[in-house]
Formats: sequence, C-alpha cells, structure tokens
Amino acid sequence: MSRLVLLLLLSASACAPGLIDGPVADTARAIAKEVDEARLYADVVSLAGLHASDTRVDCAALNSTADTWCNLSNATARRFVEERFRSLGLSPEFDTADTHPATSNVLVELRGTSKPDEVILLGAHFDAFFMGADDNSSGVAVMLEVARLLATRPLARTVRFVGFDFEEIGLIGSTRHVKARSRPKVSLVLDCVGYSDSAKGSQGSLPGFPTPSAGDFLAAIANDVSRPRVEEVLQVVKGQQTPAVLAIIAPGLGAGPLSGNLMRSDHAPFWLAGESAVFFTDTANFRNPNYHTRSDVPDTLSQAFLAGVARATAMSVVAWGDAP
Amino acid sequence: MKGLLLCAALASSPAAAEASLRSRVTVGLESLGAISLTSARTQGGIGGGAHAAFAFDAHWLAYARAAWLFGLGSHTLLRVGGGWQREGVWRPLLHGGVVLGLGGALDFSVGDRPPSRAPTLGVVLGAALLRFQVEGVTVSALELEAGLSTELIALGPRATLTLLSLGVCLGL
Repeated sequence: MSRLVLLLLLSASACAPGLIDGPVADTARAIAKEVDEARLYADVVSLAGLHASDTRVDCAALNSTADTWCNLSNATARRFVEERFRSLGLSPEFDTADTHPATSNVLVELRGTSKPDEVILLGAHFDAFFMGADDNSSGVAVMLEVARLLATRPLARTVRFVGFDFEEIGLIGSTRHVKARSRPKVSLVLDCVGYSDSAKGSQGSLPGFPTPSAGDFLAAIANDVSRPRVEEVLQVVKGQQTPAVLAIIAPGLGAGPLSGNLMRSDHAPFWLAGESAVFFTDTANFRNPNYHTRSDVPDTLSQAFLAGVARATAMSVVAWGDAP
Repeated sequence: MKGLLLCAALASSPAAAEASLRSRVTVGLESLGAISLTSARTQGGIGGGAHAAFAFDAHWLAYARAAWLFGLGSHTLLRVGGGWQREGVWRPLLHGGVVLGLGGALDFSVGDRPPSRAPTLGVVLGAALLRFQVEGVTVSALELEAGLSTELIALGPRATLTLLSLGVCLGL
C-alpha cells in the first residue's frame, strides 16, 4: 500500500504544471502594468449607458414577458466593440446567423509572430440585462483594454478577441463559435469581473465550495483539461497587483451534476468540446446583489478590482501567447 | 450454524487447512456514499463497491474495500483496515483503517498554493452496528465511518455511509 501511495505521489509531481519561464513572465507583468484604470472604468460606463438606451430584444419571441427578459439588449454594445477594434487598427469580423433571435459574434485576431496557427482566445459576452455594468460590461471592458495593450505588440501566438452574443439566452454565440471556428489552444472567458466587497460574509457559496468569507477575490475556474493553464495563471500573477486569485478546478469536463454552477458562462461550450478554457469571474450572484437587476450600474463596481482583473487577464494572455 | 462457525473461527483440524483458509475469507458487495471536505478539495459521491475480509479468529479481521463513486466527477475509493466483531448472529463491527481517494474532485487553491494533484489520503474509524451473520452470509446496513482527510495541502473531515453491504463466506 505504501508503495502504491508513493507511486501516486511521484506521478502527481511528475504532472507538475507547465512553467512560464522568467522572461515570458517578466514581459507579461510589464505589459500588465500599462492597464489604464480610468479608461477601463470609462468603458464600463459607456457600455452600461448604451445598454440603458438600446432597443430591447423582443422578449415575447423568447416566450417570456418577465421584466428581466424584456430588458435584454446587445446591438449597440456590439457596435461599441466593433468600433473600438477598428480604432485599434484591427478589422473585426462578424458571424451572423439566424438563431432565433439572430446572433452575431464580433471578433478580431492579432496574428502571432512565430506560431500563428496556435490561437489564444480572450472572450466576453456583450449582451446584458438592464445596464449590465458587472454582467458583462466589466468583462467586455477588460477584453478591450487587453486588446489595446496588445494591438501594437504581437505575441508569438495569435490572439483572438471575441465579443460573444447572447450568452444570457443560453451561450448561443459561444456555442456557435466553438462549432464553427478553429479551436484555440486555450481560451479565457470573462464574465462579471467588476464587483468586489471586502466585508466578511459578503461572499455566498454552495456546499462543498470552501470560498473565503469576503467577496474580494477573483475566481479562476477550470476543469481537468485546463488545470495546467490555471496553474500558470497562479504562477504569473503571484506577487502582482491583482486581486487574490482563487483557482477552482472542476472534475472531468466539468459537466457533473454537483459542479454545474461552474459552467454558467461562455467557457462551457469549450469545456464540453474537450477544449482548454479558463473562466474569470467575481462569482456573479454569489457576491453581487445587483445581478440581473436594474441596480447593476457602474457605481456599484470597484474600479481597483476591475483594473486588477485586467492586469491578471493581460498577464495570462501574454504568458500563454509567448510561452515556449 | 456451520457457515457461521467456519467464517468466525479458526479450524482446528490440520486436514481441513485449505478449507479453513477459505473459511476465513468473506467477499461481498456494497452501496455507499462518501464525502471528504478540506479547504483545498471536495471529493465525494455515491456508488458501489466490493470488499474482502480475512478473519484471524472469531473476533479480529482485516479488510480491503474498493468503491467507485459518482457525483463530483468519478473517483475510486480504496480502503484497508482491521477491526473487531462480536461473535453471534448480531455481529457489530468496530474498525479503523486508511483511505485512498483517486480521481475526480473539486480542487481549490489555498493562498499561493495551486490546487493539489495528489490523491486524497485519510484515516477513519467506523462502526457497523446493524450487522448480522447467518450461515456465512453477512448483512450490514447503515455503517458509518468518519475520520480525517488530506490532499497534502489541507486537513478536513471525511465520512462514509455504507447503506447496505452483503458478504458471503468463501467456505460456505
């Protein structure tokens, strides 16, 4: 028995994470320091304002006239993402399809210098209920900030930025993307990344999830396939100016009955396809009382937390993009 | 009562040595649920398994149990240990052992430490109070086992509830 245990321990250590080496980590950290907190928050305010004035999705067509579903919008936020990509000198693509309602993801690629066929994907959904400051203007703003940082600084691998459409209806845009596009080497999905509360008891949880009491950490969620990527995230953000990162690894593909809450965003279609994907979140309704309500407005977010998430995101993307 | 006697006690005749050895071994099947909770890992589920026990005498035995559980992914639970059982039809068993959990779990980072890749290790004490043996057939219900678990980062409680266990003496 002791030999079996020893063998297992040795095999566990033999499966140690792929390490991000010094120069790559140094580059990632240097780029992350250029995150502009004021610009980031201004983007959240702009996106939330656009959602507030946008034409609503026809909720009757969704077979629901509930207040939440009748306050879902996507069009002007998508236009904002498109225009931002263009302002960075990039040429966005759309993949419109009539999925009842029609969906149209918006995406750009920054071609890699030495491994262009290997793709790192950074995505966030741009549809939102009400103003959707946390869910998910925060994620879109972080994605755009990282695109700004990398637009003139290509990495070894291609970086694909994707604004996913209609996550709220059922991950429609991301599911279509996974089916239609070449598979990325790793994907990082951002959803609800701006709300923080350091008061004890502010963090909700579920049985079996030993989360901290204070809701001021960033959850980095992976499954067994993407476990090494989360280990690299922990490695590259260590000691940096980011929120504390709580890594959560779901077993297998993550689709088990007791871990279903870990699959509630656009990373799920990647997981189900067997792909490597990591999900950054403030844990949404387990922390933010404004989740999917009219009170999900920019004033409720923490600019410092949001900027910290942007730094963690930038470091992760650069580390994966430039890793040997 | 012949089966009971064979499974419960050492055979006295040298000529019956082979039969005696078989008579000391019980094998069986069981249904169970288990949970292990630390700040770095939650592992658990429900499922079924198999067990084998070797009786040293009428009271003392050693066992090995393997179970396959589903819930948080799927994982294998291996348990070895020993215990004391009462003689008679009502045969409550008190036991202790070590546990090895391999496979699916919810893993968490703790501070700067990444989620553990090590298997779950544990020590447990258990009681099977609703345990009976008639004619070499052992039936046990609602056997409870509790102890401590670790994945080499954190320490926490673990528990196993064996809903129903059926065993048959090989010497029957």
